[in-house]
Amino acid sequence: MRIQNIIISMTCAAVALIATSCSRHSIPAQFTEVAEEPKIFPDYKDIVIPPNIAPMNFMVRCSADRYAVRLTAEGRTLDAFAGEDGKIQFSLDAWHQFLAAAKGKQIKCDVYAEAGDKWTKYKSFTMTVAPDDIDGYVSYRLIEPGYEIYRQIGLYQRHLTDFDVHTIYENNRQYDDKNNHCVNCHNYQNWHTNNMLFHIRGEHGGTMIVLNGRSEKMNMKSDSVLSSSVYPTWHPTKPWIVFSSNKTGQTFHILDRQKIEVVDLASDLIFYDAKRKVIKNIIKTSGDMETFPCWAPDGKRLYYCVAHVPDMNNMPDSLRPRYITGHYQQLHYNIMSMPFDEATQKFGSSRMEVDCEAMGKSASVPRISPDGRYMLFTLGPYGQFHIWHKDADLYIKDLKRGAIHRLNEANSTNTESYHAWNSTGRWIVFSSRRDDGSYTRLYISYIDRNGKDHKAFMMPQEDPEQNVLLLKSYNVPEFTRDAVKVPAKLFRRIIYRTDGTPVTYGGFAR
Amino acid sequence: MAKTAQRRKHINVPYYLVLLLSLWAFCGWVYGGVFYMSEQCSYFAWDATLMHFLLQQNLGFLKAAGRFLLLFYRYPVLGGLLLSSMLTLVVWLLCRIIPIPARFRGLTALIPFGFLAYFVGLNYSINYHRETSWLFSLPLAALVILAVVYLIKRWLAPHSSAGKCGDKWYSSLVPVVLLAAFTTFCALRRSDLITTCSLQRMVESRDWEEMTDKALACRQPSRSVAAYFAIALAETGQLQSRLFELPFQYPHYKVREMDGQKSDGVAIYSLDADFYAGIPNSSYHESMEIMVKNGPQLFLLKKLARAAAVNGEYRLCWKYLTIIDRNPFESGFTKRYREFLHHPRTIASDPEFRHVYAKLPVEDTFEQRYRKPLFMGYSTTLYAGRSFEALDASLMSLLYSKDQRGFLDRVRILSNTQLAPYYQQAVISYTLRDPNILSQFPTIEKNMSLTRFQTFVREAQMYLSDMPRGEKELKAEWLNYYPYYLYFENLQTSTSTHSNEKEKAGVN
Repeated sequence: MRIQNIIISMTCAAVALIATSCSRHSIPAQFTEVAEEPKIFPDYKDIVIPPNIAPMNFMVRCSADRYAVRLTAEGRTLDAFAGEDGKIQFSLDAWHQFLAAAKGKQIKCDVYAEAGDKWTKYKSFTMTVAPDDIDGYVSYRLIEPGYEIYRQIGLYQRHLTDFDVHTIYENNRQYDDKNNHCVNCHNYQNWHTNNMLFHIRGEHGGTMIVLNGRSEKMNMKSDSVLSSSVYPTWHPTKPWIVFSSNKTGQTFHILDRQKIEVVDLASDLIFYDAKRKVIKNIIKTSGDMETFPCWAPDGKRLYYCVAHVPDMNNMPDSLRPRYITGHYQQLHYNIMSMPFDEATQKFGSSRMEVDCEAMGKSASVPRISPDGRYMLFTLGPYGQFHIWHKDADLYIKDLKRGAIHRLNEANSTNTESYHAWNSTGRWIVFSSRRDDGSYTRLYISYIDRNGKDHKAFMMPQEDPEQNVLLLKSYNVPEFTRDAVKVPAKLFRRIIYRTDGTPVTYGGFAR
Repeated sequence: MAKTAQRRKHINVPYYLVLLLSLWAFCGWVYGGVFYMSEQCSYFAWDATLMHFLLQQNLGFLKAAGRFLLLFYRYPVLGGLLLSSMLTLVVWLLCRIIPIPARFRGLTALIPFGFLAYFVGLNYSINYHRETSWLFSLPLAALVILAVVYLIKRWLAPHSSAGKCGDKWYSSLVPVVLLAAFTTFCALRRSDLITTCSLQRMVESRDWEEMTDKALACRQPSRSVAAYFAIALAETGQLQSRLFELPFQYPHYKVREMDGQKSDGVAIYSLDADFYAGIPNSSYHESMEIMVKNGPQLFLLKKLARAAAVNGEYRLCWKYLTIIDRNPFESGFTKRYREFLHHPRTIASDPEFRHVYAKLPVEDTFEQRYRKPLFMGYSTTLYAGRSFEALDASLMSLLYSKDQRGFLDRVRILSNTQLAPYYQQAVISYTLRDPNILSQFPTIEKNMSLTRFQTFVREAQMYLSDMPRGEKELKAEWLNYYPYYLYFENLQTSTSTHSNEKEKAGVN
């Protein structure tokens, strides 16, 4: 009898607790409406989102005890609640069902905040669901916005429809002097991971190339080539890669808030046939610095950036650093392109695409949209490593009409740089330091069929505060349609155990 | 009679109590300040994102547990009590497991003191590129293992009398003797490290006068003590009148870098020295580099937040404050800086920061143009400044560096003003090379100054072939006299800064 009473009491208590909890999580019926918009982070107000994106979780940054959010679209609603921390996190399944129903439509977002038993409803804002899906994955590197030193660096792939993150490769988890190495410049052919590459610098250095799913570490060094292969671009269909070969250095500002200036002391373009393992020079000059190559989607042209520095013609290497650091603000990179003949693997004469020097600006990272219509690039005041230039912005050139315009909706008042198109050309992802001026975060923007950009939004995280707490920057975002299939352990085995297959020098590809 | 004898045989001399108190005295007071900095060179938060870097390492959870316990060292007396309790408990458990004869019980005090001796032996490396949580992680691991063994033993042999016999009266002397030995050793060979840690703590509370006194009380000040002494003097406008009160005979020590190489450990104090020399960018740079190597630490996060605030990067400062706030006990720091962010104009007029602003570079250039350490390289090559404070900092750096030519080139601008005593003494000392130099400085009272200098020269001459002896013999009379510093102090070669190409990415 006594036991029975205890069980009954506990059951009643549990029911009461559950009932109380349920009644605590509901959209308030009574509230005071205010005209101001809610302060939320990330800023997801009035954006265009893909219909297959992960939940757009955010934090409400008003001082309150509890929060409630209701999304409304096409007669359906989706609610989420938060305590004092203000973290609004939508259920994954419910979110996707809601979004599927709202495809191509607008979602109304209502935010409520309770302080001292009184609810306030803020001015509604909207999210528009685009009709176009986004690619399933984005790869990136995580690294501190540091200077020269590196320790734990990793390449990761995030599934954009949920919050899964898969490690492509990590160098180490604890500092290991004998094996310390950096990884960078991951790149994929045609948004697929069957053919991909990344570089390893330092101990066990080389270039990891995955060709038709088979991984091999290559030693890309050659006495006939300027330096290591750096920025890559895959031919859209053939196993050919164009790299820039750069000699790069950094200088550190003693006063300027931009802190670091990354300069090339010299750079050329090289062509690599991954199947035959032959490397060739494309452009090898002393007075010009060519970098950031990018194939057109039809493989018939190669776009690249070049700075013309006649003073550096035949300048000894030992004098270049001093010259560059004294003239770095006068370095302006134009965007050029040259035709490519598949049959002969030869490049033709270059032509100007964007005369940035005439504009008093400097370009980097030209990227052609999948339909070949648009060229996206970063424009800054000078130089080519624009992540450290607060004035750097994204621009687009209509290759059909020739018009160039700034992405007014996607850009911010701080740095925008390193961008990539998705496979349909409707979405771009890029690096931005708009949040604090120092830690790079990934932003996604919709580019509609007219080439118009829309307000960019931060890549959503399960915990929206993660972007504040993370002490690393996102680097080199690249969309892919599929996941990287090579396990990280295999990459590690190859990196550690092989010296790197040497390449053959094949002369000039011009 | 028999009962009394038996009672006496089983009287427990409070060995464990004496052990606890001895350990507490050392951990809470003698070395409490050093372990306080161990806590500051650590970071703990109840957040997976913030702790991810640690948890994914080998023994990550053990380190995290150690870091949590290390938090108590925010208050050294409390942290010391916790640590000494854990160490005492380790000894107690060990005595319960292993039947140590009562006459040897006192020797068990060697275990916790031996453990502490390892940390004392690290000297400046204790908090430099080192996981500081081992201070608690290892005793915690030992406690867990011993507790399990003890419980198993009790279950298997519940009537065991191991460790239950009374201790001998002399057992309690062992921890007391060890405490005395440790304290004496620290007073003789670790006073500079202890002082450095105290000064680093005082920077945050801006106790400039106390910092000055603390530095001067140090038995043999190291470069780090000298750097913080100079910072305190600069903040109180006393740099050009008191810098050479400190005896500049640095002890020899090396710290171990992450690659195993040894260096002078300039980075221990250069984060602060750069900042107060007027180059917050460089302070930020160095703090970031150390954080990249070691992961977030409170000490570094605070330097980053401070540099960001002074640089006008308020959202960046706010990010660091948010992260610091996840660590308990730091609300004082974050509250102060949040006030700055709400009223940014108060930063420039803040009594601490206005001295920094006064020394900011007039124009931008690159760090690579200056020799290292940067706070010296920058200060000694200044030819243009925002204020006379910047000029004074430059002049004093040159005097410290014994760069007489560089000093004279710059001090000429003040030739028609009343020069500070050190400046006068420096000009006077140059008469040995150029007797006509005084004609360029009409405000120097020649007779008195020359007479004093000539007296010094006469007394110093006999020690020119034995500088170390000269330094000792002349100290009482001539300390705080610039020529004495010039000829007899700081005679070591310049510091070696560490550089490991393997750590560098070229470009990140």
